[in-house]
Amino acid sequence: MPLTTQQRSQVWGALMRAAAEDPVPGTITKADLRAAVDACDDWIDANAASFNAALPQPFRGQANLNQKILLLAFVLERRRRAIGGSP
Amino acid sequence: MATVYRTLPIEAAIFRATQFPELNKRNGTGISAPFPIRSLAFDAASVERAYWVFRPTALGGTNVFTVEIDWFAESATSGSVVWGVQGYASTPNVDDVDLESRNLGVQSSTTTAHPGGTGQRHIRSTITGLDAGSAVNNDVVFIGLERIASNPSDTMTGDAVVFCVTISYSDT
Repeated sequence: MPLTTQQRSQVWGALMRAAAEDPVPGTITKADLRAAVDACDDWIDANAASFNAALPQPFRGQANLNQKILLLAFVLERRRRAIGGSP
Repeated sequence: MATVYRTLPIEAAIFRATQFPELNKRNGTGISAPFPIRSLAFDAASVERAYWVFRPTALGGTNVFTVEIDWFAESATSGSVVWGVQGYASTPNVDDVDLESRNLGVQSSTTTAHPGGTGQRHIRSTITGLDAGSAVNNDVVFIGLERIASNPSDTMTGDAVVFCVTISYSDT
């Protein structure tokens, strides 16, 4: 289920406040960033089934949605740090 | 004829209960002699406001003000910021009104584009012709400054960090 418009707006605002993490290229406008947030959320919906199918059993069958999202988030966060993102 | 300049101290900004900029201090990261910067960080996603009160001494009959906002971008190197100011001039012992229930006057605004180059470069936005309601010499003037983040022309990502606000007016 995609984020609501308000939730997407919250993500958009939070990204711009997280200056220490340098999350936004300086040349990007607010509209550009919002379009990226929307596209990211849409992409997750479009690819959720593919992600689930890639998970091996027994994890796929026994983990709930929250646990699967956490798995993805942890791996993505570790990847972010591996390329030099601030902790 | 002369122009009178009055700097409104950043640390003297007043806020309402909600929608206010973050008051902070940048410690400075220079190598040999860094210096701190007191600032108000205006959000890009929601409208935030700061207020000041001052007494315009030697105010001439023109009775409009110019407001200069000195700021830098937190992270952006492009886009624009829309600033708005409103004022209310109160004449002591003359105005027989409830001061606490007053509203600021018509908002004047300006849009300033980040010129590119260094992200945190010094930018000055100027708003001229602010009418605080026919202010006269030695009134007390209440000023409200906001980043109109909801304006479609406000396109800059990240905070706009204000470190100096100056009001000026003619003494004639």
